[in-house]
Amino acid sequence: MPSHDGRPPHGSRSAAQPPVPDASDNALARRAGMGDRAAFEELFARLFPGTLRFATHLLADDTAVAEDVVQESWVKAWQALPDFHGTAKVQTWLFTIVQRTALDRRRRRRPLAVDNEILEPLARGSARTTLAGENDGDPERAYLSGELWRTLTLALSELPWTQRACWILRELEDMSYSEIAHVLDTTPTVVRGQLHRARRTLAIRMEQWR
Amino acid sequence: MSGLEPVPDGVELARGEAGLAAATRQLRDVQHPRVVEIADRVLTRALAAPRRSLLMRAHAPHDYLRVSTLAVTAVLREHLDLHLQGAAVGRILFDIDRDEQLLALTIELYVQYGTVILETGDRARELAREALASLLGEPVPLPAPGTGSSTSPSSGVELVVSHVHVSDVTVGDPHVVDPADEDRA
Repeated sequence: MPSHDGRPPHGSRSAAQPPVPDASDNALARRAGMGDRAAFEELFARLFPGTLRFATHLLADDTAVAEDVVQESWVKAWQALPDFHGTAKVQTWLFTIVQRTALDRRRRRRPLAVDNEILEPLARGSARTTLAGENDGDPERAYLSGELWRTLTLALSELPWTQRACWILRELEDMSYSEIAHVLDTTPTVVRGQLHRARRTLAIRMEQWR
Repeated sequence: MSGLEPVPDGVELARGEAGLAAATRQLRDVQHPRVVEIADRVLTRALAAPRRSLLMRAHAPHDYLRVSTLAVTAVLREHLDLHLQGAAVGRILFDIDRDEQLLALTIELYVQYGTVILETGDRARELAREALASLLGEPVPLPAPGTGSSTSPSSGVELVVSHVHVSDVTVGDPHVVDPADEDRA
């Protein structure tokens, strides 16, 4: 009930305030869109690690840019949440922002047409990630040390953009084909094909470097 | 499928797939080494970013103030969500004229199945009025056309219409679920 003078008790969070940790992602997004910072912080805690992982693997050869992309994406999300109407999952909406921001940065940095046939040049030795660590650029050494994920990180950086994005969203973020299609602005059929190619190429690399 | 990378001689694809599966499991467990540091910075920057808003007039002792729709939205949502049983705010829309007078307010509600909608609507109107009064001053209706002006523009808030619109129904508590969550279930 309102306070005795009928004025809303704004500025303080009452025990009767709807619980933030129990709310779904979309309910949090709705409340964050109307200025609920606690709801935004909860949403951030849930989804930030995934967005950072996505950007880091997507821009595997430039971690500084990946961090900038994630920051820019969350700033955009905070500003655009008042216009988010919940027609899609907020997770796919956020990953769409990250993907577009990353693609935009990549185009600005390298004035080449983004084409699935352009292979990211692993051989040039610039495929680095902060995650890759001491075995940077040496997939055989990584394989021998039993740290298969380092080998996989290098192999991922070789994949064309769309294949890489499809693989990360499916295998690391556990998204459905239709959710990936939403993020990449394509169709589930295209996603299925891109994933098939990505898995095959990665399996060949893993075996070649064994 | 055309365009697939051919399997090179001496490469056993099945073994590569097994290696890929193991590597994928490892990669899922890898944490970015600076995730906490980056998260702190990104959250601070995001919450400091300005949002677009409009301004509306509010009462002041000798003149008027201008208040952002962001502030009014936040207070309205918090007040309604706190006190409204079985309903949560979906969206809040303002109709503001060129003189920054608030002409109409529309509050979209998500109502839990089984809630009495008319009573909820009346209660939402009452709560919205309390919140507006606390921020802008007591809303007064505009005089009917042709009856002369009983309130000057500087006297503050002239709210002509307040709509409450029930836009969707949820099975669960609408404060913690969204209609879209239940659509997908």
